[in-house]
Amino acid sequence: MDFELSEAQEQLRDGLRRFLASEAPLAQLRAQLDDPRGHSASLWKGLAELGLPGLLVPERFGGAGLGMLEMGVALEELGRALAPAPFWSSALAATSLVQALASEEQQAQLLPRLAAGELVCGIAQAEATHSDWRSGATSARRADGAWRLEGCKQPVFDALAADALLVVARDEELAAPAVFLCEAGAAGVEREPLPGVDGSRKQGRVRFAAARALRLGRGDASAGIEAALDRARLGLVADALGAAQRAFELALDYARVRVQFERPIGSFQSVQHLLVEMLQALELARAGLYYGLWAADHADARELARAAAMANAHASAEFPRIGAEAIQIFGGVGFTWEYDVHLYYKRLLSFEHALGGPSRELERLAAIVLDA
Amino acid sequence: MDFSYPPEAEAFREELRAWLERALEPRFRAEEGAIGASPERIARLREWNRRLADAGYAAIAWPREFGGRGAGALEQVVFTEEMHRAGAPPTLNPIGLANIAPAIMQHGSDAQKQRFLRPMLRGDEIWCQGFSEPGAGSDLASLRTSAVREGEVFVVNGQKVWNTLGEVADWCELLVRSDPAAPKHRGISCLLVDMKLPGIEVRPIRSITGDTEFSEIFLRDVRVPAGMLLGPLHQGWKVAMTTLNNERGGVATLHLMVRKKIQELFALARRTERDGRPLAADPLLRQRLARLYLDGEYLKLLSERALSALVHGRAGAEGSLVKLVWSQTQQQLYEVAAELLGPEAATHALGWQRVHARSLSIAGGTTQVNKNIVAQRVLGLPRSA
Repeated sequence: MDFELSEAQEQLRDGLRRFLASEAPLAQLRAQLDDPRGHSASLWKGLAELGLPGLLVPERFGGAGLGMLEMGVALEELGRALAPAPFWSSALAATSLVQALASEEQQAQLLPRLAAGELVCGIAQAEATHSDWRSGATSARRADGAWRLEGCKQPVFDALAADALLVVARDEELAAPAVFLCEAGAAGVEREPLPGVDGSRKQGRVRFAAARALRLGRGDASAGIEAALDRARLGLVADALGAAQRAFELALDYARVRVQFERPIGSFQSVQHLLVEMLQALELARAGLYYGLWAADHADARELARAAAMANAHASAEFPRIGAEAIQIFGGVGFTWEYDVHLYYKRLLSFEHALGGPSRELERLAAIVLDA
Repeated sequence: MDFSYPPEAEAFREELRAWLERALEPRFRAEEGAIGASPERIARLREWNRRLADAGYAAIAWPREFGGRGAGALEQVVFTEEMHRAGAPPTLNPIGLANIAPAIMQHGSDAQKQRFLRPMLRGDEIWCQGFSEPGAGSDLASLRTSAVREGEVFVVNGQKVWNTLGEVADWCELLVRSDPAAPKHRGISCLLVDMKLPGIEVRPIRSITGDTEFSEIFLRDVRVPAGMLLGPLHQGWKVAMTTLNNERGGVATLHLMVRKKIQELFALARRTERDGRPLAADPLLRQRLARLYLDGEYLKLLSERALSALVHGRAGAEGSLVKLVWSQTQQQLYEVAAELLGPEAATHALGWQRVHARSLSIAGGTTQVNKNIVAQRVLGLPRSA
């Protein structure tokens, strides 16, 4: 029974924390909160020099060939730092889709560029009018010897920072879901920012009008998409865990030093119990997440789905509340732009429903464990 | 990260399984222990307990010299898992084995060890604790039951309450105020008291379920031989808080029964039809059931992480949260059960279990006191006023 991180994983965490403290300070994030691209080029370059975009990519394609636990450790740190980088999109979500679906030849073309950070790739799976990627209205047909995409995807994380997008669409010939690679600058692709509460992670809307695209692999992609999205879910939970943990620590530190009625507010039981409840939600989330990350590399697709649904259901229900309660503990100053705690809360809000919020994930879990 | 158990632990599992197949006859199988049990059931539990003791399984965490096997945390978890799996009844003497024996082993005289440990292990003598008083609950150290030395005896007067197994116990580990002038933690002593001594009266307390699962103990001029003082005079607080250093595997298995009950609830939801469909197909109930399932699984993972921290010597908050999460999850289970049962909720057996579950956030430290402790010891917040 070993639930511990390895020494190498601890080193990855410590090294990345130090790197982000110097290369991605909150002052830098604050300076670009209103930039619709939301992507610090220098930070991305630094991450690429550390080899992080290729963390999951096999060594034969120029990556580090590491696993989901390392990916989780990295994302937890990026979330903790509120790092404005398209790392989750490109290094986890897009990379996982390519690994799950692309042909060997396509992988040889895409993975080295993804690993080097030369190609920033986002994923476009959500649609405003459909709550499940399986039932989306975006379609793909062949015309003039190429696939053409038709439809509208939103919200798309890092839509304006991406060089290319992996688009979930219905292959009309096969009448089944598939994934298509579309250059962001291609004719027929129109991107617009969706200004949101979270300035650390930008979202956008992308319209496709006969946009030329490349199909990843062949056949019904449903199982591959679902497994890649489950990995992406776990990664997003890791990012959110980092942010929620930091919000909790800020509130805890503040409760120790803020004096009212001649005593630190952290001596009041109502504040203490609130903090213990936050700690409890975080520790449960960490145990569940680390198990899920382990399962992603060691268990079958059903177990991965079960673990990912649990992790996402728990985190999406608890983390926004942790952010909200952190603001509550700060009181009036927590409501000011000047104090940082709101930045974490907002990161948690952009996480909450991104890949299925509490109700949808509980229903997915019920289908796995109750209907079985 | 690796969720398998080491080969030694798995070898122990195999050995135990083989033994259980032979030794655990159907008549021994039971879900409930000695608390509130009839004399016949006590006799049966005692017979089972002797079998365990003869095979060296009655208290595996105990050191070998006292009849245990010095088992580490992982072996203890394996033991509990296998007992649960086989449907073996809980131990007859839970408080004695886990809470009182460590104090006797560490602080007792040779004569006390000789006299008490073996019969406790075999279940020949059942033990209870006399700690709480009507005026000393969460604030235990304010206890007032007095012990005054007169020659070769302590004369004890006072009242104890919430004594689990009090009505069947042969012996009691009793906390008394031996120095009323000292600061409250430093004037307490620990006595080993024969429950048959004159002046002791045990009255069962009827709980909100109508059953009696604990008692109150009245002590009037009870003359306890001075040789029954456990550990140094006035240091009873420290003596009573003694635990075995390896006795923390227990928290890692609290999830077993909860998760079993959750599966029973799932089965109920699948087989019960209402409005022409199984309850398990109702979208609102599915949400409640899935969340409950998640809570049970996360209790397990939190416990396993606590166990891992223990085994690997990492300081972590998990262990101190397990009891909180366990009591919340167990209580929530009955709330969900009531939601499933609807109008039947208050007349079903689960309704009585729901009432009983109120004790889970009170016994062994209330939820509120636990949160205070975690806030101060784990989060390092200042003591509350």
